[in-house]
Amino acid sequence: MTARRPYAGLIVAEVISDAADDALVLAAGMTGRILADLGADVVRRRGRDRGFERSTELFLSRGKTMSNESTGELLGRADVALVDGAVLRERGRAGLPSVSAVLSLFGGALAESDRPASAFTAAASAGLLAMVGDPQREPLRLGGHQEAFALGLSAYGGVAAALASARPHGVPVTIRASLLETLVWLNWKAVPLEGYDALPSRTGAAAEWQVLRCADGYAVLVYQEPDWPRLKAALAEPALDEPRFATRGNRLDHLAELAAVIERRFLTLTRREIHALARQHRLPLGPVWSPAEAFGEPHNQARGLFEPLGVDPGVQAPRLPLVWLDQAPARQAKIAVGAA
Amino acid sequence: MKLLEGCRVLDLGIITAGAATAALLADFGAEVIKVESPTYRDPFRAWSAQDEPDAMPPLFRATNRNKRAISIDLKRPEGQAIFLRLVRRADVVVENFRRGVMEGLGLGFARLREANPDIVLASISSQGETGPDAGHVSYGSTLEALSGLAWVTGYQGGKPEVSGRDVNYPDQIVALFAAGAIATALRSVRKGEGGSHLDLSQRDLAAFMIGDRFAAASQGEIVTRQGNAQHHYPLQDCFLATDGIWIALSVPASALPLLSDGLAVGDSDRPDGLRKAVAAATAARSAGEAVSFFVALGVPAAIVNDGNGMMADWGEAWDHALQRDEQGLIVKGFPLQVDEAPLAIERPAPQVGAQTCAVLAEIAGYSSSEIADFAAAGIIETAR
Repeated sequence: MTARRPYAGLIVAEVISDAADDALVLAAGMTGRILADLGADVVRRRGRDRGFERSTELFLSRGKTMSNESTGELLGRADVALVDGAVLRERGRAGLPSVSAVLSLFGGALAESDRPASAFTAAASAGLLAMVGDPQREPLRLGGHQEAFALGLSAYGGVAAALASARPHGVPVTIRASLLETLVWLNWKAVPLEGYDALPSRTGAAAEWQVLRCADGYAVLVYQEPDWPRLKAALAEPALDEPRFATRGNRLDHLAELAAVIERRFLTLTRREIHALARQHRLPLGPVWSPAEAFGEPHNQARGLFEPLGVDPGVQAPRLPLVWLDQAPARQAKIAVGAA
Repeated sequence: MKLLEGCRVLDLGIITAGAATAALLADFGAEVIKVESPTYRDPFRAWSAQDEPDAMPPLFRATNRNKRAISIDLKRPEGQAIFLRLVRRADVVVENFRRGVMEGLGLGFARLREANPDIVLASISSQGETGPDAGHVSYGSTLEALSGLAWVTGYQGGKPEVSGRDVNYPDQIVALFAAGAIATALRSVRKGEGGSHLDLSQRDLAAFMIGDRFAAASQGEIVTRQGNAQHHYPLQDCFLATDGIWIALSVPASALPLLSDGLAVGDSDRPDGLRKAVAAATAARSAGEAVSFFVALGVPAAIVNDGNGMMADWGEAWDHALQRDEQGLIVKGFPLQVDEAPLAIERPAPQVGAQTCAVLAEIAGYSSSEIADFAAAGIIETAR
């Protein structure tokens, strides 16, 4: 299960201009973090202080080096660059490595614009905020830095495809990864698709899938229609047999009441008991663990999910979510690797 | 030449996580062959809100464009032999079945590797190949709960929240990451390191996506829900405009002086005063006017769009994340673009077994009579 390092020997430059929004710094940080874990020598150009939390800096900087080189010097020796539009305009395409990812907030006609935007306003434009939370309250973002980190995944996908390509060495590949394109792509089911009368939106207490209270915290109610008989059997709650919950149509008409009945039952169960019921009845229910609790979760421990971020073994975070299981024996390279 | 041109993928992926991963590989230029069975379809083929029985459901159509499709009964030894012959001529197998299904079919990695030492098997699962919860049934929002993501999502002082059934966030992001991971493994193969079995767990990924929150928790910090606030913005939240539409606003420290002047807030260090002034300024304007007002002051602001609002921004603020197929219907587009090798929709989502005969003849090398015999025996299914 040794992790492979297919990018060993590659130099990746992370160069986001000081004028760019924080989201692009975080996104490039995520892309670079993944590439560093896969063997690349990732070098970040020292930019202005963004005021990020120390834990965010620690997480994104693992395995990288910081450089005071000029942008030109750093880009000149890199095989791969993660840049924003301002760096591209300043250096020109010829001034960037053959594989370069250009990150932006917008796509479309606004791709080159400097209109003020943030990860949060991009989530609003992409419809994501409208999907989370209580309809009686303000729309809600997902926790952490989901938008920027998702853009980081998007740019990683493009860079990885370029580095796997059989294209001849040195042929330029310019990846355009925008925050809004990535978020719209993620939230594709929110747009009007044929056959669906109503647009999806946040439904709060009337959501089919939602977090409910239980005896020692919270658990999530998640199920598909075929799970319903097993959910009833697992919870053994007589009220679930009432006519108002008899058919899917009935249940959709009484979702808030249904959730209230199930929460009443959940309140008699601990998260471990709900977890055990879910396993026993093959149900997709799950306890809500805090990060502090997740460190000790047997499943996470068995998978070796956490690792030190740096020299202090006490500062821990999840490892790269890619495990190399059985591997075929190495052989002589058959062809030269293409780009970069 | 597209980035992954020349790469062949056997796509056992279903619903979103697996099928969208393979779709991205197809968008990068790989030849992706969707593999279904006479007795088992991608469940997305049955998830439809339409009345017309023969219409292809939009969720399936959106996720499986740019693919070819074959149908082989993998439960039968003859079907497995056909599949393994295809594995010999493929680079990647993608699957997101319940754990144990591939082994149960006799198509675990060891057998695939016997057929092709350079094969990459990407196993995309809810909770990974190992660990006590590996066999636990779960959907995207289950994993938000288990990973810690739900814990950090929610109103300040309120309960944890999940993205819910219509977003199912972990299912979406895993496709982005898995496509990259597969491309990384392909580079490894090209370097002569041989094939590999990739264990891609959505729960692990959801935890990685809040990795900085774990780093904070490991140092004793209390990690909880912050609503819409974020550390590096003095003010960030949604505000209601006079037309009943929400707008989202992020106020960076650099914009505080101009915004405070514009709103006549005396002391920009008093967040309550600024919040009230922003709320009042928004409530006095329509959403569009409020966004223009704040943007003119250098403050990031946007209308909180629903699906119709997203469509209205198509072309202006984004243009390739969704696409229209030959019939003008919406399908998934691309999260990114490549200048020198543009991603494009080149074929619509296929009917079951649409290319079974062609793929078995051209790639697996079976003769017409062999293919006819397989069909007669129900081992394969061809397009109706």
